[in-house]
Amino acid sequence: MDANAWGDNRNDDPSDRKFQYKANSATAILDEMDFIDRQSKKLRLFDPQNVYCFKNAKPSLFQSFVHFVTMLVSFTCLVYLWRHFHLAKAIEVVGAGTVSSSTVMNDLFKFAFILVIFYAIVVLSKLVEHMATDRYRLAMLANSFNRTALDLFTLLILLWICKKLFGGVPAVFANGVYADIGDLFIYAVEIVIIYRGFRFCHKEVAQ
Amino acid sequence: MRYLLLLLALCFSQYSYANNVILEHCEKEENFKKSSFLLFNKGNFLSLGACVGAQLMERGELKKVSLVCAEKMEELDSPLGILGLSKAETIQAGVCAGVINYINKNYNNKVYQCKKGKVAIKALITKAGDLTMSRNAIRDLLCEKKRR
Repeated sequence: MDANAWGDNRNDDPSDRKFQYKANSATAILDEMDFIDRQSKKLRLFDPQNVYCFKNAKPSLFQSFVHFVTMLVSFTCLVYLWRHFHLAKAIEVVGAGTVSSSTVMNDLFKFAFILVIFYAIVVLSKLVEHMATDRYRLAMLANSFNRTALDLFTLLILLWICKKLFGGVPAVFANGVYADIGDLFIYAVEIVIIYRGFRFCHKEVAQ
Repeated sequence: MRYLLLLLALCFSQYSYANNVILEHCEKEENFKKSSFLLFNKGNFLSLGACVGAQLMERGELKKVSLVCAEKMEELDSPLGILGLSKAETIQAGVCAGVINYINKNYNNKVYQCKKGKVAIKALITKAGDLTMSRNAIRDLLCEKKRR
């Protein structure tokens, strides 16, 4: 049977096949380089992992400006969340005036939140000068803050949906022993979110 | 960097609630100053609460007895121990203990027999309301007349 009957006789010639492979791989490599080039120029707002991955690419002036503005916005959101949920609330106790009603666990976790964020910022500011540019630091910090704020808002919305599904907070979790255990669980989730948001600030930048 | 830290410290600093009004008798008796509210010492807060509870019983100005005793129950049952307690909750738990102690001290005699401990706390949680209660009303909840 004639090989040309199939309309394709490349496979019969070893040298031709090699040439085809080389050509294919060359275009593939070009495509990949193009892809990486495009990825490195992309504007990232909620993605500390990929900012760390493309640490050698310098963000443009416009991108740095966007980073700065979104960082301020998400920082304000975090402060709002803080004031709304974690600020010590005072209640009136008859005979002893107004007394703070924040529990010891509450205070400890507040301290831990601040510690995690401070540690990340301090480590980021102490990265070696010629390894990390100021724009990289700004991009990383903005992404970390945005990511954390987004995740915390997601948690808040999930809790809100749960509340709607059960028709208000169940009486067991409103006050008493189980309320404290529920608080402990939510605090644990929050500290995991904050640690995950800021974990790429700790990573060493080496070229 | 330094200014950023300063900004964070300003944003995250809390209010201090040291400005309080304690009943005068208890302030002298327990040697409780305004500065004592800064640190959380469970034993001091409990004894302050007990003193406040006894004083309020004498004056007949006690309110929210069931809520206060629910806090006492929480303090006894909590698996987290001191981690789950706040200053306000501890004082309220002390108030409940002070009320029960006061009743047992003054009325547990030949005429009346009064409940103690968790039984008394449960009775107050279920039967006492949020309104102001007189001494006799609480006594009737906790004590029974002995039959002769």
